Amino acid sequence: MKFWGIKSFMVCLFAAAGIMGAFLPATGVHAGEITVYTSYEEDEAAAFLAAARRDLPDIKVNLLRLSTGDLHARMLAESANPRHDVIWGWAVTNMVDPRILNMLEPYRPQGIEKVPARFRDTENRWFATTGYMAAFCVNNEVLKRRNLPMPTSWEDLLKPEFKGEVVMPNPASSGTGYLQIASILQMKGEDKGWRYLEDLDKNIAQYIKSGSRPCNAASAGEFAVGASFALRAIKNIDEGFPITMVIPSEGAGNELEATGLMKSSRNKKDAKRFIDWALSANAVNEYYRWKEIVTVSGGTMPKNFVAAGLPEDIGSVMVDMDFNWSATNRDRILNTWQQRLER
Amino acid sequence: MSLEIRKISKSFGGVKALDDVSLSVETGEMICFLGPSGCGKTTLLRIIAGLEYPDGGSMYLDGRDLSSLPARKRNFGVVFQSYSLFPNLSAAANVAYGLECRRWPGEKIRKRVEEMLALVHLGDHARKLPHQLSGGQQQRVALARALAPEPSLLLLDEPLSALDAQVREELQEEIRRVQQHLKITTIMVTHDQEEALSMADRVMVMKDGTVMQTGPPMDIYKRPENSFVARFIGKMNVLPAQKEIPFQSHVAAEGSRPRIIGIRPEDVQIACCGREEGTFSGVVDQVVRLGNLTRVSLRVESTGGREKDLLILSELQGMGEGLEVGASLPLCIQPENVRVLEWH
Amino acid sequence: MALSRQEDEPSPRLLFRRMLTMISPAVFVRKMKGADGEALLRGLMPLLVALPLVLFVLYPMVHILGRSFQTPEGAGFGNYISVMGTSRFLGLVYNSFAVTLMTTGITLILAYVYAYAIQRTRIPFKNAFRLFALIPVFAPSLVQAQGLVLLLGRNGLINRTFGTDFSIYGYWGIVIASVLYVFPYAFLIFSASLAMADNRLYESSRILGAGSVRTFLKVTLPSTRFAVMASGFVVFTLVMTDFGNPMVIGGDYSVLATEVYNQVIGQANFEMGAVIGMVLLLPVALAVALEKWLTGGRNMEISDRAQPLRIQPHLPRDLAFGSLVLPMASVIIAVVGVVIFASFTHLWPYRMEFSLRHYNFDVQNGIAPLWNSIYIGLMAAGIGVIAAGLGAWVTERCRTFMDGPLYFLCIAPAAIPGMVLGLGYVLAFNHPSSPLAMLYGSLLLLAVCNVYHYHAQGFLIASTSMKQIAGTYDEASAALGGSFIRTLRKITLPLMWPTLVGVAVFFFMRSMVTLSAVIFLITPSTQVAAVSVLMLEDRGAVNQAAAFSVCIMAVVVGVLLVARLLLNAFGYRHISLIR
Repeated sequence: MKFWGIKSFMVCLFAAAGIMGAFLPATGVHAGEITVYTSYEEDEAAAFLAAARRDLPDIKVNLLRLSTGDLHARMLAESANPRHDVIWGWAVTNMVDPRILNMLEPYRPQGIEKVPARFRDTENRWFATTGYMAAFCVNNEVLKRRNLPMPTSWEDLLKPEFKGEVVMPNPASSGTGYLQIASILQMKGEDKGWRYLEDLDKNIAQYIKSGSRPCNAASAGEFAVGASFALRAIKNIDEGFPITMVIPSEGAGNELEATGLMKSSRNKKDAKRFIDWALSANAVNEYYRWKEIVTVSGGTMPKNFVAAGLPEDIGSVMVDMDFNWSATNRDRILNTWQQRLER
Repeated sequence: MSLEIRKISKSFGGVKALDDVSLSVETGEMICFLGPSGCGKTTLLRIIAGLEYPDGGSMYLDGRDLSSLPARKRNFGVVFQSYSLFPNLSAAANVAYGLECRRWPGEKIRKRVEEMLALVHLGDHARKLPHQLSGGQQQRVALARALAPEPSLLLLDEPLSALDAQVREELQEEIRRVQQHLKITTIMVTHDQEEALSMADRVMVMKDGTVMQTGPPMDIYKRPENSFVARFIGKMNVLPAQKEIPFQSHVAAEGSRPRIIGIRPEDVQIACCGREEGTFSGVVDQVVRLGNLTRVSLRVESTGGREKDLLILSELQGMGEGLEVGASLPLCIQPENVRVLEWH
Repeated sequence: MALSRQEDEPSPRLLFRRMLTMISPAVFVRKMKGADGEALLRGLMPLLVALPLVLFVLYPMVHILGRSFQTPEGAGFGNYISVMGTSRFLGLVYNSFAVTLMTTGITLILAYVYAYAIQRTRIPFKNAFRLFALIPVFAPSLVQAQGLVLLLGRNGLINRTFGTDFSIYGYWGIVIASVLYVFPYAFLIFSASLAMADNRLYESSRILGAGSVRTFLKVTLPSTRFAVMASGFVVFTLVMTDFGNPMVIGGDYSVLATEVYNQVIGQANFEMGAVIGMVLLLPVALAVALEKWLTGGRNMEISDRAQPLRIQPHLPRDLAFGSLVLPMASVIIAVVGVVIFASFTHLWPYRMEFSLRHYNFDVQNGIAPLWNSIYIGLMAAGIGVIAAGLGAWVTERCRTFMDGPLYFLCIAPAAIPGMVLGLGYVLAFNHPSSPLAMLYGSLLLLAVCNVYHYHAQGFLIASTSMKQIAGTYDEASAALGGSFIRTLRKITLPLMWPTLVGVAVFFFMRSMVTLSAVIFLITPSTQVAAVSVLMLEDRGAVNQAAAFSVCIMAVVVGVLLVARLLLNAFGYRHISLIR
C-alpha cells in the first residue's frame, strides 16, 4: 500500500517526460523538407522564398537568415553536426574559408553555364548569382543643418568638416565593413590603403558592429554619412528617409553571394532541386527585382534602383574585387586593422 | 506497550547531546523528561520518534527492535511544541491525516475524527482552519491528531510551553485525563518542573545529555540524589556536610565521607523543637512574605575560623509574625530530613 | 541553545562533519537496513536534481573550458597568452570595470533613495511609483538603449527639440542605459530589506535623542548592509555580462561582453570567445562567491518580536524624497515611453503622425517568433518550477550528504554569463556524439537554456519560501505515517503553490526578454522575439523593432496581470511576482 505514492510519483514523472518529448523536433529526416541558411536581407529572403514555394510546392524550406558574420560563426560551431542542407546567398569571401569549403559537396546545377566562370568555384562547390556593393548613405537634413557639402568619394570623407560625422562598419565583425576596407586596400595598394584608413579614422565617429547600421544611423540623422551598402540605401530611401545614396567615385567595393550544397545534407535530392531552382528563370527574375548585382543575365534593374542613383551599367562603378585575396588575407588584415585602428 | 532504551548516544558536530542514556517505560505509564534547555531531552524524544538517528544504542518496543524502523512506520503519536498543524487543512482533515495514511475506509475515518474531536471538546470546530483556532485549541487538535491512529506510544514535545499560564493548566489536566482514559504509554518532554511533578507517573531528570535521576515525582522531590536534582526540583538548601547539622547517612558506601547535604526549606524549623541535638542559632537576614508562606533567610555563623557564614533558607506556613531582620533565633532540623547529595 | 534544533542553520563546518558521518559505513549500513522503497527514492532525489544541473550547466562549461585550451598545436595556454598579452585586452578589462563600477555606484545610490522613499516616507502614489521602477524588467534589455538613442541621440527628441548638439554614444551612454537596465533589480532588493524594520529600534533611537541623519547612519544603514552588498553584486554581475546595451549605445567603447560577441559572431573565433568567456566568468564568479561568503544567509536579521514600522508624518522629508523620486520615475517612463511612441509613428523622427504599419512585420517569420517565445516561456515556466522547486525541496528537506555540493550547483548558474552558457550549449549539444544532440534545434533546448540561465534566482525564490514552511510539518507528517510523497502532495505543494506561481512567472518573463544565451541557439523554426528585435534594429527598422518590443512588453504585462488576478482571487496578495 505504501507503494501507491511512489507509483503516482513515477506516473507524474513519465507524464512530464512525455510532454517534454512532444516538443522535441522530429529526429528522422522528413522527405520534402530542407533547411537553408542565408544572409540575404530579411525582406528579400522572404520574397525569394515565396517564389521558391510557388515553384517547389512539395518542398518545405526552413530558412534561417543571419548576417554574414553570424552565419559564419554558426556554421563553424555546428561543423561537427551541420543542421542545414544548403547555403544560399552568402558572402564568397566567407565561403572560400577552407573550413567551410570542406563542408561543401561539388554539384553542377541545371543552368550553371548561365553563371560566368569567374563567379563560380572551379571545383563546382559554389556559384554566385547575386551580390552587393558599398555605398554611402548621406543624410540630406543633417548636411543642410551642419552646412556640409555632399561627399562623392572616399577621398571627400577626409575633409575636416566631416569630423565626427562619418560612421562605418567594424570590419572585424561585419562582412560589409571588411569588403569596404578590402576594396580600399586593393584599389590603393596596401601601403597607401592603410595610410588612407588612418587618415579617415580621424573623422570616424564610430566603427559600428554591423554592416547595415551605419546607413540606418545616417538615415535616422544620428550622423551625416554612413558607409554601408547600396541596397540598404535604396531601401531606406523607399522607406521615406531623407537620404541620398552616394557610390564612391573611386569605385564601389563589392561582395558576391554564393550558393552551395552541404556534404552532410540528409535530403540531397530536394536540396539539389532547390539549388536548381536558384538558377531558374523565375528566381533570376526575383533577383533582378531585389539585388543591385545579378551575375546571371536575363532581367533589368528596377526603376527605384535607378531613381536612387544606381547606374544601369553597374559594372562601370564596381571595383574588380579579388575575392581570393580578400579571403586568404582576412585574418592578417583584420589583425592589422585591430592593432592600428580599432578603438 | 513498553519501551526499552539502551545506551543511546548522539552528538551534533562534536557536542554530545546524549551520552549512554538508558530507560525503560512501562505500559500505560506517563513519563516526563525534565531538564533545562540543552540537556538533550528533546533529542531523546526525537530519536524515539524516529525523527533523528542515534549514533549508538538500541531501542525496543515490546521486545521488537526499533532502530531500523523509519518514523512513519513506528506508529507513534507525536505532539510538537509549535502545534505543527497543517495550515492548509481543517481541524478535521488534520485529525484524519494519519488515518488516510493508514488507508482507513472513509466512513471509519469520519467516525474516528468525530470521536477524537469530541474527546478534546472541539466537536464544533471541525471545519475551522488552524489559524482560526486559539493556541490552546490548536494544541488540542494536535493531540487528537496524534491519538487518532491509535498509536502505541504518545510523544509530547513541550506541548504546553507556548501557551498562557491559564490555558496551560487546563491542558495539563486534559492531557492527563485523556492519557489515563486511553491508558496509553506516554512520554512528555518539559522544562517546567511543576508540570512534570503534577502530571507524570515517573520523572527522568536530565542534564548535559545524561540522566540525573529517574523515579516517581514525590520520590525525586523527597530524595534527590544530587545537588542538580535537588536545586532543579523545588528549592533546597545545599550545604557542606558540617558537624553542626546532623544527618542519617543513607549512602551505602562505608567510610566515604559525604561532602554535601541538602535540606528542603520547609524542614528547617525555627524555635520550636525541644531537643538539643541539631539545634543551632541563626540571624535573620531577609524575610519575604508570600501570603500563605513566609520565606526567611538566616545567617549561621561558622564555628571554624576559616569557613564562611552559611545562608539557610527556611519556609514557614502563615505570615511569620514577629520575625525581624537581625533577630537571632534557634533553628532545628530533623536528621531524617537531611539528604546526603552527590555533587553535580 | 537547544541542541535538538541545531540543524536549522548548519554551519559549513557542521555540514562537513555531517557529510563525514553520513558516509561512515556504520551509519550507512544502519540506514540501509531500514531501506524500503521510500528510502531508496529519497536517496535518488538528490540525483534527480543534480543530474540535469550537471548536464545543462557543468557539461557545457566543461566544453567551453576545453575549447579555450584548444589551439591548432594541441592543448595549451596559447589562446590565453595571445588574448591576455595584448594591450587591447587590458583596455577592455579596464573599460568593463570602469563601466561596471560606475554603474554599480550610481545604481546603488539611486535605487536606495528610491526604495527608501517608497518604504520609509509618506510620498503619495507609492504603488504607481513602485510599478514605474519595475518597468524595465518587462522589456528586453535592448529597449533601454533603444529609448535612449531615440531620446538623447544626436538626432534624438531632445537635440531636435532644443537645438542642442550632444552625443549619448560611448561611456556615459552605456552607464546610463545600464543604470536603467539594472535599477529595478537593485530597487527590489532594497525595497524588500527596507520593508523589514523593527519599530522598537527607531523609537529607542528617537527617545535617545538621535536626529534623523544619525538614526539613518546608526540604525537604517546597518540593518540594510546585507541588502547593499547583495544588490551591489547583482548589479555588478548583470552589468559586467550585458552586451545588448553596449552594442546599441556604446559606439566604439568596447567591453569584455561585447568582445565575446565580436570574437564569435564577427570572426567565428570560438577559441578566443571561449577564453574571454572564461575571463568574464572569473570576476562574476568571484563576486557571487564573495556575496555568499559575506552575507552567508544572514539576510533575516530581524527578530520575530519586531513591530512594523510606523512612519511619522514629516513634510520636508516627503517633499525632498518626492522631488528625487519624481525625476527618476520620469526618466524610466520616458525611455520606455518613447519606444512605445516610436512604434506608432509613421517614420521616426521625420513623420510623427500615427500609424500602425510597423506592426505588420515584414520579416521572414513575421510575428511567429513572438509565439515561439511564448511557447518557450511556458515550457521554461513548467520546467523551471519543477527544477527550482525540486532543488529547493531536496536541499532544504532531504538532508543528505549532497546538500552542500547540491546547493552550490543550484546557485552556480548565477555566476555564468548568458552568452557563455549559450556558447557552451552550442559546443556541447551540437555534436552527433552528444547524447542530447537531438535536443539541438528544438524549442525545448531554448527553454532549458533559459531555465538554467536563471536557475539560481528561481531556486532562491523557492528555497526562501521552503524555509518559511516549518520543517516540523514534514516531521509531523512522517510521525503520522505519511510518506514523503504524500507530504509533498498534501502539505508542501498546497502551501508552496503561490510561490511556485511566482517562480513560473519569473521564468516566463525572463524567457520573453532574454537575448544573450539564446542568440547562439536559434534555428529557422525556433527564432525568438528578443532576437527579432535585435535583427530588426540591426536592419534599421527602428520603428518595427520598437513595435516588436512593445509586443513583448504587452505579453509580459498581460501574463503578469493574469497571474496577479489569479493569486489575488485566492487571497495571496502578498506574493510578489516581479523579481
